[in-house]
Amino acid sequence: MEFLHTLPNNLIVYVVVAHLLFGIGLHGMMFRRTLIGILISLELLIQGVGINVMAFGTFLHVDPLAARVMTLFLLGIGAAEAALFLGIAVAVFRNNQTISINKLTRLKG
Amino acid sequence: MSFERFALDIYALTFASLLIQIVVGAVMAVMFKKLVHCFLGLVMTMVGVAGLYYFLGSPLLAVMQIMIYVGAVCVAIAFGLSLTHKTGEEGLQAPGPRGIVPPLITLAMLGSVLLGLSKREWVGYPQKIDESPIGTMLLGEYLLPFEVISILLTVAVIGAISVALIKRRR
Repeated sequence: MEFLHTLPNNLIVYVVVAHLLFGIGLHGMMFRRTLIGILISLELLIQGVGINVMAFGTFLHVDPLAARVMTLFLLGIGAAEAALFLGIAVAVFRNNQTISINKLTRLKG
Repeated sequence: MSFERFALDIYALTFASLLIQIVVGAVMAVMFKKLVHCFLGLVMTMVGVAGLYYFLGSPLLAVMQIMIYVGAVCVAIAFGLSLTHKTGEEGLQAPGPRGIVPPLITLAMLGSVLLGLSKREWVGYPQKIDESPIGTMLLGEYLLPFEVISILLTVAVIGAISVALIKRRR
């Protein structure tokens, strides 16, 4: 129980969780079969980056407010990327009747 | 057991369960076969990350995370999911020998970060600070990135609509 009490005050916990999210997302981006699956994994990756920025800004006493502003920008970029990705996925599905990345090989050499 | 002790226990247990929720949600989002289950895992992770922001002393970011990601992005993903649904295409490819790449990259990144942190103080006490200067910072110091982000969002949404409306090429 004492160990649990130290967890919220330790920077390493946040950093390890953020990197775990990043790694799991990277695995998903490489091995999912559909565009939507890749988008979900990409969102995980961005979440990991957000936790990292916020944790460093809070614990290392650089400028906590700048870290918050940076994370807000990150949220905005994530939202824009998701909107664009979904638009592309819907367009691909309308044109090809599939979003499986194994069948979208028109540009393959 | 005193009441303060009890409250601290609840605080620590909440944090631990948030960590478990984040990791389990992420594994669900990547490993499950059906995309709807993956989507539920993603929502779990995002709510957990919002809780983590709260523990880092920023209720503003926790609310923003819930509003933007859970409220907007996840709903958009749900619609995209239903618009592009086709059975038989879900699941993961067999990783094969390439499966070692993500853990390698992650371990390299984590190792370098921990190496860089080895001379710094790890333990801190995240405090809730006054977040009201963020508004003036966004319109003063960070005006240019703020405007660029707003233009980016406008372009992304208009672009997404126009791309999604492309007719099939003959």
